[in-house]
Amino acid sequence: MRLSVKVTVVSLLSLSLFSLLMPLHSPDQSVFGELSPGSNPIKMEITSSSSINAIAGQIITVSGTITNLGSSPVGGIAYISIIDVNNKIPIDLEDWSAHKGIAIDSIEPGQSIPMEWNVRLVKDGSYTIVILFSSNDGSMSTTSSVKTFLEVAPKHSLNPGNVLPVAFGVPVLLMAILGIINYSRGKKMGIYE
Amino acid sequence: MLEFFRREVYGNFYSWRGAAWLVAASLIFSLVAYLLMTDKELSLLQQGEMIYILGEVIVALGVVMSAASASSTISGEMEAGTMESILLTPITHRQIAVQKLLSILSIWAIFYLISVPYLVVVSLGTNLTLAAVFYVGFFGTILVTAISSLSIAISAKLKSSKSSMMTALMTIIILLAPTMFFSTLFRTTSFGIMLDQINPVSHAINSLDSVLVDNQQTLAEQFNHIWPVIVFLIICMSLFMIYTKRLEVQGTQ
Amino acid sequence: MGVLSPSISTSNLSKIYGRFKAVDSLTMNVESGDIFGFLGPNGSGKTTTIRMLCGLILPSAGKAEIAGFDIIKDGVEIRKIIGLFPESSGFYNWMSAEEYLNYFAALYKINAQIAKKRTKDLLEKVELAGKSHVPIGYYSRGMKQRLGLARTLINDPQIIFLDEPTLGLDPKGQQDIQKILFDLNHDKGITIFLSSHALNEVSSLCKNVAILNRGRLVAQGTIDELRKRVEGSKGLLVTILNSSGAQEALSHMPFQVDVKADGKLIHVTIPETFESVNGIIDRFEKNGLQIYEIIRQEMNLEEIFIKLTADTRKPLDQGVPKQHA
Repeated sequence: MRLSVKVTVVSLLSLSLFSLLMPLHSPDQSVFGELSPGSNPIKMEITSSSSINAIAGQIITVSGTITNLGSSPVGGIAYISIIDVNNKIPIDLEDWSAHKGIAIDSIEPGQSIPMEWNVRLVKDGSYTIVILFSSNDGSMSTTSSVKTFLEVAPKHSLNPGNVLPVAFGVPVLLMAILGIINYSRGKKMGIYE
Repeated sequence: MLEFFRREVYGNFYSWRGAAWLVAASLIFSLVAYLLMTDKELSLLQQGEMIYILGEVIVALGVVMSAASASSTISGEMEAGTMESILLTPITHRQIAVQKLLSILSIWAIFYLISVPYLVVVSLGTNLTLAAVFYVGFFGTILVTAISSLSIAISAKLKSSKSSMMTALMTIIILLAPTMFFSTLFRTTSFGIMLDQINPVSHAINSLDSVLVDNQQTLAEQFNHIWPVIVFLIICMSLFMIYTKRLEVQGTQ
Repeated sequence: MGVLSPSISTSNLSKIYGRFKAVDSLTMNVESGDIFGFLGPNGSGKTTTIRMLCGLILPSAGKAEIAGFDIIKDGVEIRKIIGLFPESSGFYNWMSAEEYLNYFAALYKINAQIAKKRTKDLLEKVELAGKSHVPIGYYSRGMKQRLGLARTLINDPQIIFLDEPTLGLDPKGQQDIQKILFDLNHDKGITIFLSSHALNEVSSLCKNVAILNRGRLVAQGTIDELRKRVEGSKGLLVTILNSSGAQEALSHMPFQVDVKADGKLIHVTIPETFESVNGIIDRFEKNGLQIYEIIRQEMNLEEIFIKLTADTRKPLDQGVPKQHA
């Protein structure tokens, strides 16, 4: 075979091999996929249901994962945010969740960490939930998951915990006892015929 | 020789004086307990906080009841003209005052017994029932005894129902102010902290908070709140002993 | 309880409020078994004195003893043997009269059986037996006064202090109270210390009286002694037959006479200081005047009282006696 043909075949083979191997060796490329230049290496994902229906007062668990798609370790805070759809405002989570933020010291490249948030549904309404990550060094923009929809129905109960018999019964019983005492005394004294 | 005490207790019920307080208290407890359990937002509080709110209401109402009743107990009898005939009997003045104090405490005892079913029903499902019943009774009894003895001393000294009731109720308002009226922000200032440290009612309320919300139920954990309340009781009882040594009717001028 | 020797004695007893002397150096004695009248205008210190003697208020100075017991040191002992019926007394309106008296009997530590009998007897005595189960709140003022008297007697006292006991009562009620007091004194020898503005009541009941004015004792003694002190004789009232010439004869008498013709009689008032009674009788007979009646006219207690309590304008701060700590 002529030398020119050999060189061409070897070049083509090298080129193919190079294109196959290049993602492994490039320091700027993710193992799981191609990242466009300047994109966030952290991926946030809600793993619990994408649509939740609950009743006010219940406690739900929002599960998610944080994954480092980049090639260097990252540290920061993962946190939950809930938006009130009807009022169009993010809600103050003070009464909803005791631990809104989870500090992550370091997540290694390729590592995926599961997380959970327990959320007490304080008020009925329509909400969206996202989980976010903010890095410590500010080298990347905040990453958000895809939103989960939450519908909270109001809590209706006329006699929760059997409070009604006590709330009604104690005053009635007390007034009855006092009334009987005073009536019998009044009768003894001749006030009541 | 509890004849005087017996008459006081009968008088509380047959004249509707004490009975009115008990009926009013039961209605207030019913309202608070029902709201805590059914109101859209209140019902979503942690159960410990609900019990704490109810406990706070019971203790505060008990303290107000004792101040209002005790502050006119001696001056009221003097104004009604019934004290003169009592002072002519061999019963000593101190015995009169002590038995009046016991009659106020008997009203508190019934008051507290009425509150127990409410505490139980609001705390159902938690491990806080016993702690709630114990600590509300403990702090309520000490504060009611202290406030009653202080109010009786005021009543004996001032001899006027109007003045002694005003003085006693002003004292109660001052004691209740930090927990009821002051903002959380003010209470975190150094002045607010100092007020909380010297105020026995604040100690009682903060202790209830610690027991029922933070679940620190042992007496040892509450010792820092208990001893100031007991010191307050000792001070009030001392004033009681001083001013009830001799009861004098108003002289004619 | 054995019979004590009840008596009341005070020595410079005083009560001072600020600069005002309600009772000023009162010194007096009341004998055992006496019905003693204690009189004075409003604000003279009567009620304050009674309250000090009963231990309801402390004196500012001076001493007093009741049946030998010191009013300051022996208060409990004194309270066992005295009863006080104050001018205005409150009651427990929710109690019945029977409960009320039983209650006080218990306070006096009287045995329950004795108390029950005594309550019954007292309610009958004050005519409340028929209403003994009704709440006191339904009683009239007069009924409450009578109940107050019954309460005063529940401990069978040796000395009773009464401050206007018949105030507000109708005449029958006043009479009933007076009779009860008289019987208590007569039958049981109870010493009665009576403060009252009803001077006819005092003069009919009391042998000895004391009169207070502006906190000071102005007179003490029998009514006759007080009368002599104020020269309380108003003269003789001589009634003669209205014969012809009688008025003519009277006009020639050497003294001023006050003549009132009344049909067949003529009433002549003659000052006693002028002549003795025998001298007047002789003079009238010599002049042919027929004497029908001679009465000595004296000041009544009311007139004595008014005379003694007229404003003397004495200074109020004549030496303050030694005060108690």
